[in-house]
Amino acid sequence: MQLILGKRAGDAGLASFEALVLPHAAAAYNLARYLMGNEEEAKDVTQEAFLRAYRAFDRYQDRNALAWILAIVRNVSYSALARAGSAQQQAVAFDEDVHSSGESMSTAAFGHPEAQVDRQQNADRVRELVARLPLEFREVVVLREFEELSYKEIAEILAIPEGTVMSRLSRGRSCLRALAADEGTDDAV
Amino acid sequence: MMQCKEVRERLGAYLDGELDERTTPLVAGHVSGCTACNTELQGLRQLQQSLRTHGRWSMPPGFDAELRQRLHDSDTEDNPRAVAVSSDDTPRSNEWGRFVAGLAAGLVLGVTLYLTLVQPTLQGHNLAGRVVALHVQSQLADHLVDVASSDQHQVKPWFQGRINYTVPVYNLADAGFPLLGGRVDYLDGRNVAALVFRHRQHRINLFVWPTAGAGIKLPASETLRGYNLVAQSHNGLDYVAVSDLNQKELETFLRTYLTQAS
Repeated sequence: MQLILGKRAGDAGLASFEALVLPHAAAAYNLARYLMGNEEEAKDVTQEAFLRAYRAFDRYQDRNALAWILAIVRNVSYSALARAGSAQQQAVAFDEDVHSSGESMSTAAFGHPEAQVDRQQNADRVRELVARLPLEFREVVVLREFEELSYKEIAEILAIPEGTVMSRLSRGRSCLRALAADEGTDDAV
Repeated sequence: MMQCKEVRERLGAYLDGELDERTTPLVAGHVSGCTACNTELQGLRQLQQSLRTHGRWSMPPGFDAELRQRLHDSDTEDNPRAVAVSSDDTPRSNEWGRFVAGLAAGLVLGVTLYLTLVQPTLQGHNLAGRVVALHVQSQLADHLVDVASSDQHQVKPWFQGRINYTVPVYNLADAGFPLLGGRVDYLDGRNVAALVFRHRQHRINLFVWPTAGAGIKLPASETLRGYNLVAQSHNGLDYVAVSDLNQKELETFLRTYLTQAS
């Protein structure tokens, strides 16, 4: 009988997990997609992160749900990257992934900045630039620019001091602008 | 007076609103007088804009549902297993364990069937369901706002002539909920005002209509199909906020809004 009661508690747990944590699935996927570099692994990582979060949900104490799930996504991503090899290899794999799947940037658009570039091309270009950042800069850029987390929240997720968040973010942004300038798209990015 | 070098190191944090009260005016003062640093700041701002507009990876189609399903599956498969393990003591209790496991599994199946088969039809008939449907529709049809403006003095008069009551309009940008605009939706045979706000990447629809009879016929808060609803009557108007934002922040949003409205 206790077990059935336990089961009921589980249902309530799932409902509140769905209400609190699941709304952050899009943010979780975006981070996973940028850390892993391809759709399949990003999906795997996101699912694994949510399953882990759900299993640990009874220990969740009214914290910032977004920061919490993103920290778990990051942990799961790093474990997966460590299994797959170094982060460096992964960056190379990303490029191949982008180019082989036909998502590559339009060289015509770069050659002619005045040409109309559609939304998809803009997206491809911006994502490619972020993907080329070293992992440690990429993650702070994603957490700040897309999720608009505070330096304090990012510091907690990464377990580093706030000052380090500031300097990494600053270097990450400089890198992005330099990369964009190399591409000759400085005025667009 | 701050030097360019010191300012450059802090421009990102300035843009992010992360500088302390003492440094912020120093950087602001420098930037307003220094063309080079100002250009640098605009560059950072443009980068931010470009990333936010184009950079986000959206979830592959169906992934959200897949994720939800995986969670439900893990929920149903974990518990019967726990029963089987805990009932290994004697053959007799093992039988009992299987019985309980079967009962638990049956219960789970029943609940799942109820949720998937019965509940949606019930939702179709209740107010919360219809409001969520409007919220979803506003995102899908790319028809979030009819009047796109963060200026409350522009949005408020826009409603006049379109609906027959006055809607208090406030931009809560300072509290982290910038106003994106307004829209008129059709609900239960009449036009209702919908105000649209943003919080991080989340969109919030705030529906406002005159309180009828005994007041709002909604629970104070509810979760439906992954969307959260928070409702309250205030000064003769019903306010219903809907979003994929978490319940707590949505409650904060409505509370902040009603504080403005009083």
